[in-house]
Amino acid sequence: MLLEIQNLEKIYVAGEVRVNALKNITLKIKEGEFTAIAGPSGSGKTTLLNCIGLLDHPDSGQILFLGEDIVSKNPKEQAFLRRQNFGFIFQTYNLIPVLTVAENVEMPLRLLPSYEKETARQRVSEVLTAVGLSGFEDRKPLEISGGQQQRVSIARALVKKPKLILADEPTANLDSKTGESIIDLMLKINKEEGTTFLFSTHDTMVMDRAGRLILLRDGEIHEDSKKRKRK
Amino acid sequence: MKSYVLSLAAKNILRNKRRTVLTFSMLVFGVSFYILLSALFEGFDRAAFESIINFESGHIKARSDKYDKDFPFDPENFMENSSAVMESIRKDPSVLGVAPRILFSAEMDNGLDDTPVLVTGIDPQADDSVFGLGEYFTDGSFDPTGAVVGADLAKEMSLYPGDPFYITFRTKAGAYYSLELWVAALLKSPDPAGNKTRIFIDIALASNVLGTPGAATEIAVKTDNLKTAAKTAERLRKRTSGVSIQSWDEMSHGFTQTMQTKGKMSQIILFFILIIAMIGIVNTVLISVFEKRKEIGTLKAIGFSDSEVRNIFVLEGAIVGFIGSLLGALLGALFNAYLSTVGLDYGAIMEGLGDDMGIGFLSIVRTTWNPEHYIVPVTLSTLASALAAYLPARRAMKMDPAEALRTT
Repeated sequence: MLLEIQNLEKIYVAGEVRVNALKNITLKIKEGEFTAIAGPSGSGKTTLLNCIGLLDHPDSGQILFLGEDIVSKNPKEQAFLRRQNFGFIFQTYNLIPVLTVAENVEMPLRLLPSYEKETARQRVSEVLTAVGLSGFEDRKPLEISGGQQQRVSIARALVKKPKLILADEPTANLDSKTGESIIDLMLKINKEEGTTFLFSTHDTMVMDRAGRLILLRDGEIHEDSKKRKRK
Repeated sequence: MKSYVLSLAAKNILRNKRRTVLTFSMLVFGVSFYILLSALFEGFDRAAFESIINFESGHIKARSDKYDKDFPFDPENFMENSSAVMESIRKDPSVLGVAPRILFSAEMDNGLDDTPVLVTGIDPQADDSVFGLGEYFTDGSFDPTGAVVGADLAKEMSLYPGDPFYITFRTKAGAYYSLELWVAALLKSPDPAGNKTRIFIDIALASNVLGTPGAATEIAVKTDNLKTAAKTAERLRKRTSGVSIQSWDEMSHGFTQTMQTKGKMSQIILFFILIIAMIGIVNTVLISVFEKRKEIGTLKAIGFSDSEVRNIFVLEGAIVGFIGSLLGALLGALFNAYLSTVGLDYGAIMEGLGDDMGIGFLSIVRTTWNPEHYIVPVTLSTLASALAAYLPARRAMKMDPAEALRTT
């Protein structure tokens, strides 16, 4: 099992107001799954992804990654786990504006102890070709479209061949046609490279393309349809 | 990985060019000002030292071991055996010139007014072998029957070349004595004290009227190397007896203290420059951290550790500090290149004020080249900038990634 989440709770406190963002979440994700987390705004989609990606700290419960409890690790170990195993795709792409497309994609590789310049250059070229951005290497993020920026973001998440890619509303800022092409690309990578995708969305088109749909409502799993067929 | 963090920091400083230029400007101004001031102070010190050596002390000075520094112009200070002492001193191979001098205080009288003066009895030829005084005699020349009068003193006493005047003083025996002299020449030297208070007469005349034949108040010595004068003085001490022998640097202890005070002033200025630089850097990095909250969250998501995120911002501050201070050092060097060759005419500046402001010379001051003036501010500015960036960088380090990613 790639990921096992047991009784995960997250409470946000704002003054005297307590919001149970996640309530008793328990789920398992197998390697190679293409899973969508859906639900209305405030249902806890992003919080769940952030907790799994160790960007946020759950108040209770366990997250096991390849059988190992990752919540109890110290911040340095968590950073190391992220750099080795997780890829992130954000709704607003979050590319570094002063770096070129190639430099943005190369960034996760630079953090690996095995980094080697020529190998990295080849891998960057490979993933940029895979996302259809060959020839855009020297452009800055602001010189390309939103859809292209999200492709760069996918390439950046993909470049180190992570075990799990966490995508927070990857198509929310894109028009439907570009959004669909992004989902196509993610599916292609999932099929060809066996990369596990876990992404949040409230777009029905994206939900329909997911192999598994987890529906969150008020921080709880409302529905987990594991046997959906991909379209 | 360290070089990657450094390259990210370097790219960050180009992001907000206007802000970076503003921080650079503060450093450039501050460091160049410090360099110029330090070089100017050192130039002043050097010129003042040269003035003392050229007009007052020579490289080495020998006096009677009974010399009372609280009453330097008292006839009791006379060295009776000056010829023997000079003979002994001349035997040292490093000695190039020996000049006896008699110094005593007197009242100068022009028939209307009187003023206290310092009378120096010199042997013009011997004196020229140690001091360069002769080249500053104007409107006449040295005459054994007359006196060379400081130009400012002459002006104050309304005396012109050829005019008679009197000096009244006490002889060694304690009797009051009045001597009639005339203005043979004026002294216009870079030594303001000499110009204001001194008259020069023939040493033979001085010893005759004071009743001290063959005696001298002091014997000034010129050596072949100013820097090794203390060693030569040490040798001369062994060679002579009954006299006190000191090199210029041993005599100028009080003056070196003044130099140290000026050095402290430079340090205070540097301290304020560093404070200004640090405020600039804190501001720059703080805004940078605030603006890049989302990027900080992204970097952490990608796998940057907290300390790596902190180091990006610390290095950003250090790079700004280094480049800014380096540019400041270059600008300072440009100013210095001009002032070390053309110089600053201190005499001309002070002429209008009628005062030397206690500096002790009136010549062209040339700034010095001292690597320390460049290395110290650049190193300290870089370190201070890194230190200043540390606090805002820590804020970036502690930032919760989920919260950082939520910012717009």
